[in-house]
Amino acid sequence: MDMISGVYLWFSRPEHWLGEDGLLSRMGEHIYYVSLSITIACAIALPLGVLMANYRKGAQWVMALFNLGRALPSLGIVILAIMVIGYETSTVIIALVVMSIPPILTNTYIGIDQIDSSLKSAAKSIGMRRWQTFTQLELPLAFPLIFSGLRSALVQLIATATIAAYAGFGGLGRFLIDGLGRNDTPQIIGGALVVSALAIASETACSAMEKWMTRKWRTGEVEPGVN
Amino acid sequence: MIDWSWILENWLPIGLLLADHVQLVTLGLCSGMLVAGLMVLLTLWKPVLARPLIYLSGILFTVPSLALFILIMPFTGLSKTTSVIGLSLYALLIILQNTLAGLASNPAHILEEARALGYTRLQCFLGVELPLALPALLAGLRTTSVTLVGLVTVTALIGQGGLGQLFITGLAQSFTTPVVVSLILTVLLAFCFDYLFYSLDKFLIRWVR
Repeated sequence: MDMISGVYLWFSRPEHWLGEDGLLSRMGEHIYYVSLSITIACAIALPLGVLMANYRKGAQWVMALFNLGRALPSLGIVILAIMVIGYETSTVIIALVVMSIPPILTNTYIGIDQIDSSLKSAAKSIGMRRWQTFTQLELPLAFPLIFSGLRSALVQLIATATIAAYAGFGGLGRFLIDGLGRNDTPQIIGGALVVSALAIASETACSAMEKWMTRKWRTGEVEPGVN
Repeated sequence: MIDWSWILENWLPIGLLLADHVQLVTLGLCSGMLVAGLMVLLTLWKPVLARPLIYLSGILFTVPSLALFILIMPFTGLSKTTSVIGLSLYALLIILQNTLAGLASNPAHILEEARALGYTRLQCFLGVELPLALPALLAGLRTTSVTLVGLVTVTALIGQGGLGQLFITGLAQSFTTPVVVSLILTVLLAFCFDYLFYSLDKFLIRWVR
């Protein structure tokens, strides 16, 4: 009971919300770092995945990369990056980008690769150009898988950005790491609750967005009669 | 970048950390499997529960690992129990999702046929449904073990962590060797677990090939 009232008290203090290292600005930092990293990761992984799927090269490399990406411990990557390149916010961003490329790349590759080749031939035979086939057939059909890759990358990014606070990175992880250092239980619990809420909120938002996009553009389904 | 003499001098502590790492992964995996098994039996008894369970585990899985470990801490402190509970929660979520998805993808007519042959519900589950869902279940275990090997390193931040402790040591002493050693060993360990379940899969599902 003590702990719950302690956490409640911690949340009720305005100085924990406002100011330079308050919850709001740390949350802003966290969201900024995560969105920056996922944008860069997408800019690299999406075109690369599409290219590899089109030339059907490197399939085994993609899978190996995916497994490696899952096996690499994020804490180690962040710490090694900082020790080798030196401490800068951009170093941590690079590490975050590297960690989120594998899920996006693999899902893009598999999403496009798994499309029934007879559909592509059909598109060709009714006179669709390569680009049209890509934007009107391949992309919509691969969309659910590509999007689920993005979602897992996002969830992983939010978690890794939290851990990166150990190496001096900003964002919501600061509350957890600083609290652990000072043995300040209400602050650790408060920070953990806020970062969990952020992760769950972004996952819910993604899921709502996917439903909306699927309904609007009818992605991921083949009209009856085409196949 | 790598100081070989440090590795030679410290092979024993490194080995102990590795053993600790394996122990944490195994404990997490086993208790996760146990609870997941109980939950699957629960959905067998009350099929309505399957959807909420999948939904709930999906939500819980998005909670950042460090936050999850910290939220368990008030109950069990900075102990091995905290890490094992957190790890088994993650294991539970992945195993449950894979198993329920595998069971749900079994063709419905097979259940009917089993019932027509006079199978009881439990006989049908053990003799028909479970073997059919085995590939999905083992795929889930592969993913889980690889994920757990990485997650154990995070528990270094709450005083456990097996090989993850070398990250902390390395950063504190500005010495890259422990970090590199730990990274390499962690990845190798993950591949070992992956290979273990891959071989188990090949061994158990011989009838497919």
